[in-house]
Amino acid sequence: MKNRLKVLRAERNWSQADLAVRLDVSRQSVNAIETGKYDPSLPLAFKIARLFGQPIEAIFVNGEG
Amino acid sequence: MPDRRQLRTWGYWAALLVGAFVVAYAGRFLAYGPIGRGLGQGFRVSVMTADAALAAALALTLAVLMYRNMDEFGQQASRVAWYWGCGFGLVAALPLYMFVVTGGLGLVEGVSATHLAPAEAQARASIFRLGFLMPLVMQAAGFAVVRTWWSLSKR
Repeated sequence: MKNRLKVLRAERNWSQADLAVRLDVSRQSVNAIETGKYDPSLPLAFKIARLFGQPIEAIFVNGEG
Repeated sequence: MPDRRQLRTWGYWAALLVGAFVVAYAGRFLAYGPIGRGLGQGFRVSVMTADAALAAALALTLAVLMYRNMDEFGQQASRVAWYWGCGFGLVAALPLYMFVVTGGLGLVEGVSATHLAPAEAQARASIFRLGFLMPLVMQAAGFAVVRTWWSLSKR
């Protein structure tokens, strides 16, 4: 699933490792989500949305429909 | 600098390796050392079986702790690897199994079972069958139990 995670991260000058620490996940997880290779679970998606202060739909783009 | 999760992972692996070594050594020392040697086969069988059960308990405990320590990405990776990797691994072993139980090893240059009496060769083939099929059956049973539990727990 496409997302704006990399853009949002860059706006705050965070590395993938920085974001991983804030989300309590591994850096590999962050990389996989950013590249669209892995879709986060709902709880993690909500956590990401809360961290960036944006709704989930503004961060993750559903390619279907 | 590794994070807390990575440090815990290393700790669990260290506990597994050290624990496995201690359990294996303690069991063999008790069963085949000065104490066990004088107590007969029954004692040795009991000790080694209990030792294996202890090793299994240790492995299961650490497996649970390791799994819980992973983030969701790591957990998903483990599930996929176990399901597809183990599945394909077991299935891929079937031709090898058939090759061995039908006497294929006797056809391989340098490996000859012709010196074995038929009864001995048959016994060895039976042991091989048991050793191959037991993990297969136990894994299938484990899968069925957990899959059933998972479905029932979601009602």
